[in-house]
Amino acid sequence: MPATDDASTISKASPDLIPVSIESLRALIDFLQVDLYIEQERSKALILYRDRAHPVKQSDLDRLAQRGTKTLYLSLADRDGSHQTIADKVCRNERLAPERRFRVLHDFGRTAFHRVLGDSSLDAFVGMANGLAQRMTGLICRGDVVVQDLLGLLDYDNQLYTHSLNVAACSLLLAQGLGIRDPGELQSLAVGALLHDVGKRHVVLSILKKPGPLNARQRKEIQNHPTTGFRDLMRRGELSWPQAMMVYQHHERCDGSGYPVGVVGDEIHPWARLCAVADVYCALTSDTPYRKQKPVHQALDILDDEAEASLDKEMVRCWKAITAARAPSLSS
Amino acid sequence: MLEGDHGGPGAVLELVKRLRCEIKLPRSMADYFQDVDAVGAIVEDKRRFARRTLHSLGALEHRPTFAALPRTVEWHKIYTKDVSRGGLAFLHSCQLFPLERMRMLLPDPAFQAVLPPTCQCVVEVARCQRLAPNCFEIGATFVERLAS
Ligand SMILES: [Fe+2]
Ligand SMILES: [Fe+2]
Repeated sequence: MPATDDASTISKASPDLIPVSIESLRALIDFLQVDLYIEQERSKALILYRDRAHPVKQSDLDRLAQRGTKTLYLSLADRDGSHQTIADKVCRNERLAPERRFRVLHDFGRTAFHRVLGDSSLDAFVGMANGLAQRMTGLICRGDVVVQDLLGLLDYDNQLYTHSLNVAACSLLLAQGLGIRDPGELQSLAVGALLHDVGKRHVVLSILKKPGPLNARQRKEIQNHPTTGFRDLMRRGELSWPQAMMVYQHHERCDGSGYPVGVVGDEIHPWARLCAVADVYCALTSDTPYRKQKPVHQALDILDDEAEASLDKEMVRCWKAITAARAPSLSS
Repeated sequence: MLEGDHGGPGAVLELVKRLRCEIKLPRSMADYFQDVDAVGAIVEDKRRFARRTLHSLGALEHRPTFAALPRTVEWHKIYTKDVSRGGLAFLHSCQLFPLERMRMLLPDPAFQAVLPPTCQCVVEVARCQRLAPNCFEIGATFVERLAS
């Protein structure tokens, strides 16, 4: 029942709407009856596409995909409750392929992240990170999501929220590759990775998204984010020391060329060294305002060069081994 | 060793001098204490309080601030670098983290201009920069002046 009347038009900025990819919806439609909105081509306004009494079918999604539509918007005002509930339902649904579950988690996580980013309360941010890390670790720990699937699912737009989700996913994989098996430890690591750039909340968007090189003052402002993130989180007093070090030291480099302190080698916490490898990899394979994403094989070469001096060599070697299975298809 | 009444800043300074020093100055700073021309010079006046160079000795008492970061309670010798009414910069042998709060003794009479009538205070770490192995420059703010 496509809607055309103005009464069904809704603002895209509405906090009750969650953008969900068509691929995620394929995993959701069997058990989720919600109102779905679609973006109008010309006006970009959102109009009702299907109401809950007329649920969308797989064939509808096929048609939308063929037309090039990538996203529909799901109304949270629905009786299915909050997106957290939906994410829980999806993560527990064993009938769904694991990579589909992860894709939904990624979509919903991005929205949750985006919402709390503008929230002045850090509590909301940390609460979101905890919930997301728990689900993420659950999926990855059980081995439900295989590495190749996960790497294929990462989004490459380098928005702060997507970047943080990507770094958390890569950090979990790398930690497992390095032999960390304890689910509690992995979850704790995922929380630290999700929060690693939390200090960027204080950096104005015009600097974060500046397409050209930064001047000295702007660089200083950006380089403050590990310190401001650490201060904000330590004032709350809930983080473990390894998590705090992921936030404070993820831009430190083994040769002392990093910031904020310029510590070297073992002076950098192992979790921060791990986060640095994931962070650099995710930054290289994403579009940034001033640089196009690099193909995986090229990113790995750069990572290799950096490992010579500034990144943890053993961790880079491990990350290369993890990604190796996927590299042939990407290097073509 | 540094607790209690020691008979004024002069006596405290003697005690501070006797603390073992773990700071290793890089070669470029070898004449740190001979750099007399720099003493008292205003190094920055764009801040809220003007900073003046003051290369002298002090003592810092490590104490735990964060539950997650254990610190053995003990005194360490530090080298002061510059000072303003709001805080100071000093050299230390190890890394300190933002928000860490520690007791400090600054017995050099030159500090009387900013810490009257005491040579004891509590500082909060604002920033830390590694200059060399066992040599970190730390910026801290005064959060409390303590009675001697
Ligand atoms: Fe960062
Ligand atoms: Fe990052």
